[in-house]
Amino acid sequence: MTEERKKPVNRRGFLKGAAAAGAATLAGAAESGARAAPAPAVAPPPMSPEAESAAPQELEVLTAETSGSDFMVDVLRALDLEYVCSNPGSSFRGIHEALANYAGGPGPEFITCTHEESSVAMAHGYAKIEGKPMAVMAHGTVGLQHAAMAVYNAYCDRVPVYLILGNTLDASVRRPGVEWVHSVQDAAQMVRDYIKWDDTPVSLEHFAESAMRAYMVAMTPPMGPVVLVADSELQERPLESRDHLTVPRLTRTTPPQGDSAAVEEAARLLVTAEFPVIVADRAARTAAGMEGLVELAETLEAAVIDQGGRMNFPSRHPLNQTARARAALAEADVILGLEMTDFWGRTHAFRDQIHRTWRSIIRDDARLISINSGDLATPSNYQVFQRYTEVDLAMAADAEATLPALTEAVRRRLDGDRQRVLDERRDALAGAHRDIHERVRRDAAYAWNASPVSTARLSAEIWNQVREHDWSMVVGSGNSLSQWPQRLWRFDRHYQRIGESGGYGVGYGAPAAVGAALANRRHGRLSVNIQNDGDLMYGPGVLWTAARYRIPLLTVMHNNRAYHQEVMHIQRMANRFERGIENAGFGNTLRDPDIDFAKVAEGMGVYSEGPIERPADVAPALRRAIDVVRNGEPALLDVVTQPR
Amino acid sequence: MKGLIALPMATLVLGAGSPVQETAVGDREAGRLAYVESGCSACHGLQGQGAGNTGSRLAPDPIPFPAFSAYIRQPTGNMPPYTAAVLGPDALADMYAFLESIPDPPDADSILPAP
Ligand code: HEC
Repeated sequence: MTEERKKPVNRRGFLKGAAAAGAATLAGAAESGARAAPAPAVAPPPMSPEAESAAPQELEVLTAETSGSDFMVDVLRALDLEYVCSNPGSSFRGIHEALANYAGGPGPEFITCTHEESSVAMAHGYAKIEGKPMAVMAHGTVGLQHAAMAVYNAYCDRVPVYLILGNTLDASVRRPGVEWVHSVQDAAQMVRDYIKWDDTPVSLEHFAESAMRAYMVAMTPPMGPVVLVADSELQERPLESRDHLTVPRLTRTTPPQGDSAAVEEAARLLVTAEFPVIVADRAARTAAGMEGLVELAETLEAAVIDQGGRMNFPSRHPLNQTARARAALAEADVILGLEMTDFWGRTHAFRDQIHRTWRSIIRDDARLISINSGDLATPSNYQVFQRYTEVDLAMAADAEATLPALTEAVRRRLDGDRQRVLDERRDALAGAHRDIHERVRRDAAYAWNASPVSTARLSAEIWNQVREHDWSMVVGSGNSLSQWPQRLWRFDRHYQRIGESGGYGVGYGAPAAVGAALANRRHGRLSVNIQNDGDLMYGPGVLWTAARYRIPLLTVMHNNRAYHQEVMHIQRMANRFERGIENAGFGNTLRDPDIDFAKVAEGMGVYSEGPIERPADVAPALRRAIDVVRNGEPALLDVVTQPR
Repeated sequence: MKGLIALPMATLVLGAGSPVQETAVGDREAGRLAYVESGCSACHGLQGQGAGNTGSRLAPDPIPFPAFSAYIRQPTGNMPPYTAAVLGPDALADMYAFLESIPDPPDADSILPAP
């Protein structure tokens, strides 16, 4: 039992001297049948200066020197948490105040967010650049409810987020009204299906240990969000002594590596294959992961398809066959899937017609190998695991951690004869890469001068302006841009692309971009976000956070004035049922009035221009906006674009 | 449900039952409007430039009109079908005229940095 729990006088209103009077009042009230707080019936008269300076005889103690929150902040300081994103809330006012005033050391910096979804999505983007979690503080009730979708995205995307929830468990001390409705028996319950771990500590020592465990669990592949509930009584109760409290050392796990026999078998299959193909999704957690994949691919001279969940492989590497993935897969006799979210979807074609049909797009005799840490933690309720895939050799392990051993095993099996075959394969793949890139360039030219601006033109113009800088595309590589940046830009550093939302929960883009840009700021990188209009409308307030904390971020709107994916779905339904094919925009467009995003941004204190409708106006506006960003501020350009 | 083997598109186009016009004489401006109103632009772009997996490139130089109209009526891939009940033959001809009128793009090397 810890020190502060042994003290009998540890309630908020603990009394010295005045206790007797208070108790008497309470007793009297109880006797008369009414329940009342031990407070005077009338306000005490103002004290005279003499009375104020005189030594009080018996006074209610209303202050204390330190509290559980100070200790909690020391625990957080031991956790390598640089920032805490939060929309302020009373259930964690203790920690909040301690972050402001407790001088035990440099704290995690408090970043004010205007919505809990923004807080979590910022942490999501940050973690993918920085490789470690950011803390988020929120109410255990309404705050977490706001945050839930973003938590789901992070979970699906296997990204660590460190959530601290305020709550008041002890019903006997809750303030009437708000504090009751902001209290919950089991705060984490509503997100427990899509987090990795949670705990509700009942003592400070318990808090400290669980805080360490939460970090460790979040950072162990498959990574994910964790929840630590900080009870308000624990936070606010005065701390008499720290003698029995310790801040434990953080234990860090090493990620699970594939079983050595399986690694050997995988190497054998890959070396003997005529046309091995590597498909990587959330494989490269760090820059070392990307280097490891390049090494394996070059050792094998194998085709690589980057699914884009992370920046796995340089986009212009001759072995990169992403732009001709279907052709490469059709030829493959061995396919190595690394941290695949949807191996089945990658190896099948699905037809969304009135009768849903599918077919395999790979050879019947193709052998599938998988290295996937996701296999270590398959959830039940949420169907994030995708369709069952018949895999010949499945390693429940972390791909990045397994790559060096696999490459080594491949090397050991290569001899001169095999090497000649591999060299020929490399030349053929390099030729195919060149050809497909030429085609991509030709394709980008179609509708070059169209207004609204084509997504290819938008992507090309941005590329033209950022390529000379040390840039990082924090958001914008998705399908809504027809994959133009992936196809056109030269990505060769790990931080240049960080994948997408994971859960396809719209509203991820803007806050994740701000969080990633915050991480990039220290490295002096130019962060670029190609921002969908519908996505920004979920939480435009995060633009204010970017302005408030001087987060340099170039946001270029891909403003097609619609929830365009849904337009296409309604089109499909209308065609299928042979009616109203001209009504696909019903309820799906963001027009009348058109949203003036430049004004929205301006109102948040962000430099902005737009709407830009003529393609020739994009480049000069980009140059002006990049100047602003290079000077350490966010900027937004509203470009009106083609649908996809 | 069983997986279907999709036939190569050409086979289906030739085999499509509905009679198709051999040539098209359409009205470009009416075609442009029909192309947008019918939602083609949503997947293929306002100038038929294509959009990755969302819709293939249609212009300039659209595929021959018989294959064009046959595909729209009875797509073999993911594209939603446009039956005659919702899209008449005139509209198809007009759209085709519109797509044919789209000019060639600039040379990639003149607008993009070297590969
Ligand atoms: C919901 C998206 C969608 C809509 C709407 C749509 N298409 Fe398509 N279309 C596609 C896709 C995707 C393909 C590629 C093949 C496939 O998967 O069916 C395609 C293929 C085609 C092809 C065959 C091209 C080729 O080179 O083989 C033609 C022609 C075509 N579309 C014309 C049209 C026209 C004209 C309209 C409007 C009347 C239209 N499409 C509406 C998605 C769409």
